Amino acid sequence: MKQTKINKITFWGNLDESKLKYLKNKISLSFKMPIKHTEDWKKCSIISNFFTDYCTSSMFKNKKEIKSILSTIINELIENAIKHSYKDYNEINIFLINLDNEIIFITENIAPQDNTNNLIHTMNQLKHSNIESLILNRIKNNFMYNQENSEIGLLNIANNYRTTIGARITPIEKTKLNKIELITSIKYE
Amino acid sequence: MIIKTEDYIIDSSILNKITISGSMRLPSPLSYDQPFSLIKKALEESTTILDIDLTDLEYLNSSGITSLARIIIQARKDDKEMKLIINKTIPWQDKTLSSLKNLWEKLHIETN
Repeated sequence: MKQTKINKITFWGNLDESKLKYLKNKISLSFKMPIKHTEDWKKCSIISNFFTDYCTSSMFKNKKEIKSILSTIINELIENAIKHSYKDYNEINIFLINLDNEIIFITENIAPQDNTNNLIHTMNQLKHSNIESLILNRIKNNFMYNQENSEIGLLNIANNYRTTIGARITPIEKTKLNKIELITSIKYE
Repeated sequence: MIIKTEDYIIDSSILNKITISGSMRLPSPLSYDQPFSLIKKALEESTTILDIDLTDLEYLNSSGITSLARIIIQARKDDKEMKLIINKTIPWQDKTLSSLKNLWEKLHIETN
């Protein structure tokens, strides 16, 4: 995998970056999640279900289906942020923005360089025409080399739901760490 | 045998059939080894197609999907036939599990 040295703010993925303008002024819900990876894992599901209930409380049409989809996606994004955080920064921020027939979900975490490179690799793969084949290849490779992580979460979201995903990466001065903002647009009807 | 937790139940008490229900969102593929050992064992002991009934499984995260996919790859190696019984009203099941058919030609998907 190509190693990318980050020395300025960069943006990756298939989300239109201009969409981010003024977005944080429209936040409906924000949350700071201090978390211990194994002890508090169940909180990922609790928080994703809470965010989902909050989003869908006033919906009437297709509520059950939308709830299931949102909870699946949000849980995956929270798990992703926690798994890829640097060990001394066990805190992630999450933001929810409710627009017309669209939800923007943002996670913020601090990641080491290796995890940042993995994320950039995945973001570049989002532009691939056959994401399903990439997912199956990752599954086969993970099986062959007995890798611990699945690494299919973001690709699965991009392939199966009406989402676009972008990552803004900001290097943290005098460290080898980066602030990762993962922005996901989820459209529904 | 039945594994029952606060969040999910895995039942392998009927020959050639496994039922998984509830919500499974464990931290890594490795953490699925213990609960999914029931599926592996049932697959080894199966005398015909092994049915895996997921119709009451509300959620399975990507680590769980990876673990299930690894069992399907193992079934292909051992030439064991499997059937996933899925619920079309649970969006992740239809969207995600259908593509696993590409891993093994003797994996069948039945939609309820």
